[in-house]
Amino acid sequence: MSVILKNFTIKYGDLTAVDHLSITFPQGSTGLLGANGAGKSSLIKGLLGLVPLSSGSATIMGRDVTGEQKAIRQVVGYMPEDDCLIPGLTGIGMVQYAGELSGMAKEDAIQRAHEVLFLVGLGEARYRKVDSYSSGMKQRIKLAQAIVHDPKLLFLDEPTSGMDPRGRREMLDLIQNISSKGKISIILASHILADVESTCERVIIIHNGKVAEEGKIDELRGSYSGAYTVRIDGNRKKFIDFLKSRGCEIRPNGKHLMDVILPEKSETAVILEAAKKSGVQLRRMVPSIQTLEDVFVKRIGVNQNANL
Amino acid sequence: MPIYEESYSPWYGQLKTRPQTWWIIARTGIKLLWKKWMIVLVLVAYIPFFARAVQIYVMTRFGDKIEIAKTVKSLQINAGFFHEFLQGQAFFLLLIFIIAGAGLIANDRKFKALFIYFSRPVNFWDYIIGKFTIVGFYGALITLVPGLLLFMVRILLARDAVFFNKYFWIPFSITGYVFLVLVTMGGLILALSAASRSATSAAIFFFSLITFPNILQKILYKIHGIGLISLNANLKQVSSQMFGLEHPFHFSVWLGFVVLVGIVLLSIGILRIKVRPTEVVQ
Repeated sequence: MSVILKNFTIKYGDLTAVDHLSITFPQGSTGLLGANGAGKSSLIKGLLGLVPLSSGSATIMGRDVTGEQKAIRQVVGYMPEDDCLIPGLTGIGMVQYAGELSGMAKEDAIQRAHEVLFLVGLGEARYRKVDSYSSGMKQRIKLAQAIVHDPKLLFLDEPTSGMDPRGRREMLDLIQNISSKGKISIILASHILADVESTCERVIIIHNGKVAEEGKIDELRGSYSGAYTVRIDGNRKKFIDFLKSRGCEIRPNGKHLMDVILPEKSETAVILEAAKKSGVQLRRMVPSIQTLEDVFVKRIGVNQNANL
Repeated sequence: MPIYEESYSPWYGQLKTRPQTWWIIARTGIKLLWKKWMIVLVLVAYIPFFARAVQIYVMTRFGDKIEIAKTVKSLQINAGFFHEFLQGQAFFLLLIFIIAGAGLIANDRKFKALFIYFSRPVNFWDYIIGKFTIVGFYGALITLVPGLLLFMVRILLARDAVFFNKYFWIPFSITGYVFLVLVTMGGLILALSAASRSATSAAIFFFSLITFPNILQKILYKIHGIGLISLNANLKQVSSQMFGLEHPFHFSVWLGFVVLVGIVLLSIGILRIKVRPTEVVQ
């Protein structure tokens, strides 16, 4: 499976949501990371033909997204960001309906609907009307309808939105499980870094409709340096003020530690100098273990989104 | 609510290459609406059918012995009888359209269900034809089916082939009339349903659009061609032609037909604009 985009552009009037993207999504799980309004959902909707392309082209498994929509939609699954339900149907009815619309025979769709509803944790609630489901249950049934026909490619748009911490963890475990056991490629759009970090092999960071960074998560983490975890003994404020005056970014890390992110082309000597000038004892200084957040912050900037 | 300790298992079945998605949408919608109140409504809508069937029986068997039957036109079994029966079903049809049709697209829009449809091999026409089939089914159930059954009753009770030879075309007229009514009124209720996220609003608007112009044309009947503003009047005018009856209004039948076609095209236009999975808010 691969999704190939060439100059892929989506505009809503004067607003360019996706700006001439030329990227390839290889087999496996890829996270689309970006702040709200970055263009992640528009990109997915454009690939599914739910919004028209303004220019450019894209193929999914070699099929053109503008000319072969029906064939593409049969082999992909989509879990939308918004709550979406078929009113009046029970859980089992809705998933069966989704399966039949994808091309499954009625009997197959019924059997499979039972399986996936148990898988997503709605086995006990499958005969309840979907209108009465809680937010977490709605997320689960959206996933169930997306995987009922065993798609080759699964688009997940903010899959943990509105879920409690436990439900969120379970949802992420499930996504990992689907990806590994089902050999299903996943494109997961989220503004929550931890969701992408825990489920995806690769990440594409989108900012203002453009690719800000892309690559394997492990490699991106490794490629970034310049952050150190520091522990001091003495006047903390003076030490921090000095580092900030030298362009460093400081992030608290627990009660006693702090992460010092050096500006580009700076050496660790800045930290040593700060310790000397502010009269503190430097007890510990080790390179920080970088997270995706560090990469994101470096590429996009801080405070792009409160949830990041 | 724990997620069960089981892994994802692939499905090894074969997907249909061309699923008839419109039929899946229609079948599911018909089943969803087939509830107690709908069954009651359909049964009530069959009361005129039974009354008319009795009329056919009496008139066929004893018509020549009843003096009044020879003079009162409305008691006679002819093309006008079937036309009148179908006109009488208009009230039930209005109820069916409001109950069955008003929420069909409005609720999908309200619950954002269009994503579920259009992320699958379903296109605009599959969706619309599927939804139309739902209102069409219930509409036909109280018009086309009893209309054709009445014709069959008349044929079965006949002692000779005179009636059949004279009126063999009536089943076609019944079918044509029902098709015309379903396409215009069904299209309109679907368009209004698509234009709103509230089934109630769509129902009220539909009722107003059918009723008020009808009342207005009755009040202002002296104005030539006023009937053109009423969907009901246009349907009456065109259907009278289909049943070979005298035209009830003074405007041209073709003009009435053009108005009906215009309503259908307008409905399709509204549906085209409103039935989209993603709405762009500028």
